[in-house]
Amino acid sequence: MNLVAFWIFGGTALLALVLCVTRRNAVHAVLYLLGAFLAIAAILFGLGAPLPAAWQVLVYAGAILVLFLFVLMTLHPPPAMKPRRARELVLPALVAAGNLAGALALVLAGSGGREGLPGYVLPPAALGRALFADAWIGVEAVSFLLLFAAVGAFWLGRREDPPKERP
Amino acid sequence: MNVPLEHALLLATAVFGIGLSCALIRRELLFVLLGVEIMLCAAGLALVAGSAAWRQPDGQVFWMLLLAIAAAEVAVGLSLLLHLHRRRRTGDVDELRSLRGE
Repeated sequence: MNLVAFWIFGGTALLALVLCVTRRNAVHAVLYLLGAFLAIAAILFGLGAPLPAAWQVLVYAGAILVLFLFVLMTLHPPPAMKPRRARELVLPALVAAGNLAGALALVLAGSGGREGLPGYVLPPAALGRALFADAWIGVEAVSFLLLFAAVGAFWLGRREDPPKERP
Repeated sequence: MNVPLEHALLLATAVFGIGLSCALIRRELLFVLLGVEIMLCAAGLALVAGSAAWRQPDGQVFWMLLLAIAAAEVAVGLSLLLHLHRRRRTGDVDELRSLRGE
């Protein structure tokens, strides 16, 4: 990944993040954050981390932000929105399409850091070996953390029924 | 590596700063959680950049652990948010003052 591509994706991510944290509408903020996470996934790919890039798309952009949207929809049912004119959406659509095309070109060219200077690309198999052979105790600790988080989320999210009257 | 480590760290610092200011300035719990997510993402970016700079897999291994931590954090945080809305009908963290004795 050359420096120009890095700063194109980085600038997109920063722009989307600034727009995200200044929104009043929470749904818009989450959608801007989605764009920023996708741009950061492209940066991770360019830095020689194909597996973290894939997980960034799947977990951060896919699971976590969808969870945010889910909770938002539960709390505030969206009002009926009037359809926006297509002209207002041309610029965001162009930016999004350009980023997507750039990321696709980066993947298809297979140049995850390999052009020019010899880059460092860690293949997923090597990452898996390092994760489960050398850092297995960290994996175990994190799996316990996830279990406790799931138990805590269930406990906090339970419905508090009023105590039943004995007949 | 074609991207110098300084540039990657600069980007990670900027992303972290945006996340930190979001978590500190916005008063809705949802935006605080979004800010924490942004900060975790910035830390992951720095980890992967370090992994590329030293040509070792350790940074990416830590990235995977960080991902699990972010998932756990968002699960607990969002259920706290739901709990808060159900109990107090608000999402504003400044409303939660009962531990201060007011």
